[in-house]
This record gives sequence, structure tokens and C-alpha cells, in this order.
Amino acid sequence: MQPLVGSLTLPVAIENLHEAQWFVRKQAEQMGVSESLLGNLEMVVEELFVNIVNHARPKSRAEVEIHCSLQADSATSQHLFCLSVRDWGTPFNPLDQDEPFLESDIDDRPIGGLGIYLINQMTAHCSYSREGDSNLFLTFVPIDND
Amino acid sequence: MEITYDKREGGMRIEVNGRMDAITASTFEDACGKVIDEGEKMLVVDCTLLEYISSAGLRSILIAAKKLKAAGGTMCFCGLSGMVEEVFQVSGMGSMFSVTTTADEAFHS
Repeated sequence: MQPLVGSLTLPVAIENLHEAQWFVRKQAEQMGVSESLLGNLEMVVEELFVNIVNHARPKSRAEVEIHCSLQADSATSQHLFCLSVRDWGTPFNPLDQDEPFLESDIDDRPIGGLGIYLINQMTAHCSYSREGDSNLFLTFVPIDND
Repeated sequence: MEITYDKREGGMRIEVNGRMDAITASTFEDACGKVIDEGEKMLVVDCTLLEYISSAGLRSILIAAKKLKAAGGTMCFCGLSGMVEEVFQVSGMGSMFSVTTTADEAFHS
């Protein structure tokens, strides 16, 4: 049996967001990710994709490479859906951010800073690394709610 | 994303249908801005038909809610479900706003 993997490369442009989300949704469906988690996964794709569109400023290769695979968690022997997103922009670690203020009043509540927080909350774990001239962001999502 | 206005006694129900994301969120912000400029003080955002929201959507909601509060008004939400409800809870928006099951409850509370 062929391992379940899929890749897609898209130009860095906001109009490609829906194609990126659609691709990951289809991959996740094929790999058995629970229907109720697909929306969360699309949100993770959006937060990462929009970050790259807004901040990456690639000098040469203005592309986003998305890779999906299924991996076994060695600790729990559960299967995790692995989403990797790579760009060739300026070094940027989205995880280097302060925790947002969540409980404050409407007037005091900052407008932004929620994207990475949501990714952290809605994935099993995630990591950033700079590999050569690329930024690589990995996220792992359980395939069901249990 | 489609927006439908429904004028009620005591305020305006704004129904959002579809996806509130980085591409569409400004539509919501503009729609609320228009209603606030017209003097509406009570906005009930009906999310029954909203399938998806991201941080860009939350950002637009916050911008509109701040504008409304500065004008002396209140924003409420109803009909949250699925991932939209989860994002609301996780982001703390669920405790920042009054959230009801139906629009009628929001107008009569």
C-alpha cells in the first residue's frame, strides 16, 4: 500500500487561500480525519497562509509548499494528521509571540495576535524551524476527537 | 459570505451566511459600520448559517464591537455551533459578549 501523502505548491498570494484550504481538507478527508475537525484544520491553514502572505516577503521563490501526511505518535500509538507549510521568505517564527490577553474588556482587548494562539489551541503540537533559506512550520492534529 | 439585515423592534439582527475569513471579513466590518453610522445601538449577529471563522473574522468582529461600544451600543451573538462556537470559546470572545441560542432571546433579555 502506498503511504498516504500529498503535496501542493502555490504562489504566495491571498487569492490562493481557498485552494490551499480545499487541498488540505480533501487530503484530511482521505486520511480519515473526523468531519468535525476539518474546519479547525482549514483555520490552521488560513492562519499560516495569511502570515506568509503578510510577512514572508520572499526575495526569489514566492511560493508556499503544503505537505500532508499521516504519522503514528510514538508515545500514544495514535495516528496524527501532519500538515507542513514551507515558505522561502524572511526568517520568521510565528511561535515567538506573547500570549494574547483573552479576558479583558472590549475596550482594552487588542485587535490582533490571535492567529497563532488559535493554532496552538487547536493542534496536538506544532513547531517551527529555519531550514536553509526556508521557514518550515509543522502542525499535528489528531484524526478524531477522542 | 452573505449578510442579511433584519430590522427588529429594539435593534438589528445581522445574519451572516458562509465563511468569515481573511478574504471576506471586511464585508462584515463594513456592514456593521454602516448600521452603526445609521444610529443602531443593538446589534444581534446571527451565526446560525456561519460555517467557518478565523482570527481575521474575530478581528473584524472586535473592530465593529469597539466602534459600536464607543457609540453607546451593544453587540450580541446567537446561533453559534461547530467550529465557530469552538473558536469563540477558545479565543475568549464567548465570555466577552452576550451569547444566546436564538435571536429572539437576545432581543428579549
